[in-house]
Amino acid sequence: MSEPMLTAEGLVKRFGSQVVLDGISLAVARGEVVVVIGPSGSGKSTLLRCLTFLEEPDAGHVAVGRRSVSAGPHTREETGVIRQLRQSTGFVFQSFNLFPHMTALQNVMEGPITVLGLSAAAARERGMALLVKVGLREKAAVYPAFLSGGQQQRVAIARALAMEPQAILFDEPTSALDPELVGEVLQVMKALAQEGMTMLIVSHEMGFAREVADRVIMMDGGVIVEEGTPEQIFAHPREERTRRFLNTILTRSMESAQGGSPPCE
Amino acid sequence: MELALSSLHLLIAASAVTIGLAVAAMAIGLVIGLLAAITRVGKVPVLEQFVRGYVSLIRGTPLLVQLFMIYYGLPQLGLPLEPIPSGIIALSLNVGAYLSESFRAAILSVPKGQYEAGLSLGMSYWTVMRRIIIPQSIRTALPTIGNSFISLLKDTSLVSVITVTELLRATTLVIARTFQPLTLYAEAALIYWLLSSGFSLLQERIERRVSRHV
Repeated sequence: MSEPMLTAEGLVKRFGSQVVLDGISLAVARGEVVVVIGPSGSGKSTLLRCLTFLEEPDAGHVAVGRRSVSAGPHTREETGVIRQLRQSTGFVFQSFNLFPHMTALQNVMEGPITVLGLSAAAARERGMALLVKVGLREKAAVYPAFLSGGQQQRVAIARALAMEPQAILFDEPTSALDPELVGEVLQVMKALAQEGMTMLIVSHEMGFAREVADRVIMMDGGVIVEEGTPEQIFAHPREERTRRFLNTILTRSMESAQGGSPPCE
Repeated sequence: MELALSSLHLLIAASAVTIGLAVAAMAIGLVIGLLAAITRVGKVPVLEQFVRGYVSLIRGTPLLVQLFMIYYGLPQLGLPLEPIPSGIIALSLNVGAYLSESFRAAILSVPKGQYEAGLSLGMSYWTVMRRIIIPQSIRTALPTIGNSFISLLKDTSLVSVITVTELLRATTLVIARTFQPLTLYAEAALIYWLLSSGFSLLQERIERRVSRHV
């Protein structure tokens, strides 16, 4: 494994008396695609949010490239480092969170203009190129409210890419989508993976994980239960908890495939 | 009828003062209200407490008393002000306090995900406020801003008591010469009503314009 692009050491996060992250450490190498799976409430999303300090960890340490920050309270200087760290780490949300008062193109241009200080012309050029890349050239002037969920999520990916990040974190990027729109988003993500983007993805899309991931991490109870190649995790899981989780997922997707009772969330 | 027509131009001229007072006070009030709301939402130390006191004081006392404090009270502190500036200051401070509450509610109604999306791009809190949150809040606050303006337009009549010749005082002056209160007050009421209706229409058009993307 080459030098890690993204590292977390001993991350702890508590909500009240509940321990959501129980001292998690992980490293993602440059160009590596890591998919995090696990039952809901296992701390997957919190892990991603702590990595960019959208959620303040109670203890631990995060590093992206050469920038590193420890859990707060933060000095003014550290707050600046956190900002740089976020700038170099794209974040794609489950609920897209596009800016509703801006067109698709303006959404993509916003970061480059306000954070990177690009001229409007340069940002527009970069934004258009990225919209073309995610297949939404003709939607540039459209407001998010008039885009489908899949289109919104692709704009959100373009928005993250516009910052030229060193890594992108995806927090259940397809969970809020209608089933028929999942494919278009996964396709964009797959293309990114093939280009060598460093990606850490929380997802329930096992087919996608099997196909695209270099490594799969199984989380439960705020710790990493097991990790390995997709082959190891899906075909030969060592841990009972992993097996049980994969079984539920499998049963659920088979039920929906047979047109049986819809999968409950 | 003749009287109504002959006094009309006087009253219309005075309405210009009424509109001027309302527009000036609204412009200043919007700035005060927005800054006050940001101070409170952003929890700016010290200033936040100050703003809290200001809003509570304005909302808890009659506008007429606020007007007298500024026009009759400030000269005692060596700050004599002309009637029109006094009126504009009192009205601005008053409407600003109410607007700050509207803005605050609107800012708080923007979903958390919008802050997170801005922060995740590497924006500072204040950049997120300026570029993402405030523009969305203004749209949400527009209906209440419109209501505040209509109230303000009518509240300008209070300024007549400190000798500003706006619509109401002009009417009273004509009545003093003609002894026809019913006709003239009715005429004044009609003008206030037309102005309010006109601004309501304008408000609707603005609202439609800014919500074209939702």
